Amino acid sequence: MIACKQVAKALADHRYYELPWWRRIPMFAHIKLCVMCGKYHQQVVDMQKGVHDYLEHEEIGDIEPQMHLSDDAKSRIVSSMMK
Amino acid sequence: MNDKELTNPETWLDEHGDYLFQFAFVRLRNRAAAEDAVQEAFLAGIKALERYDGKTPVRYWLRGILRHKVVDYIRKASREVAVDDTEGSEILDSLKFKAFGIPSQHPPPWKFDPKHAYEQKEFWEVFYGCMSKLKDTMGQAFTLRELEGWSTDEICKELNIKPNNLWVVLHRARTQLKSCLEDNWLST
Repeated sequence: MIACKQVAKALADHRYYELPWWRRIPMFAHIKLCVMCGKYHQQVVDMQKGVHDYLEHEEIGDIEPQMHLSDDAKSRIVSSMMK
Repeated sequence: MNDKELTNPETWLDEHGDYLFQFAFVRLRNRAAAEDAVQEAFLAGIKALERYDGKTPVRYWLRGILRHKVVDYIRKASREVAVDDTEGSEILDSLKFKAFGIPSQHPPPWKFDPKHAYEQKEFWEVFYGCMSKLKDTMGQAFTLRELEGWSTDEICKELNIKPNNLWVVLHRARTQLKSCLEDNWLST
């Protein structure tokens, strides 16, 4: 089994869901079985999964806009584009 | 709308303005900077319009330009904030970190089931709101690593911090994000 520190290093340096399957499988097994670091790293993976899914929703424009350009900004942008 | 209309800059603000602003704001967490970045992206888009080949929808083409503008803003902002190298030393010096690379063997469990929440459309609005609250170096590091997928070396060079400090900053960002999600998702 890979060491706790190797899992920590991999999760610090990479987004879990972008790692190739052959790197994810030993990490997955470690996280599920390790009593020392499993709970902590599971939460890191959960958070990375959240960001991963968020980016997918963002990609397709599936998130209701909560922030809108202000009217001032719109006027400024329009006048700068007209120049 | 035909191709000509799609590539007409006069329609960009109405068609893509809010989408691009939302994209920039969650990465910069600063209204004025996000608005400026969108404006600069539109202007750069107008200049580059002759080179637009139509293979990518205009929205994503503009978003690609905006991504560079966002990074330029983060680069500029990171030079204005000095990072305390000793921050997080209590975590880095702890036995658990040195032995296992973690700050805590028993982090507080999630107050909700994240896998279930990720299936709810409304959750992503909460997630967006919470990511938008990560400030300064924490927000910059989180954006570059988690949203943009930069390497540790690239981020450390850009933010002028050491890898261990980056680890602490990202740990704190995730902790704050988790706490915000729990407070806001459970109250919806």
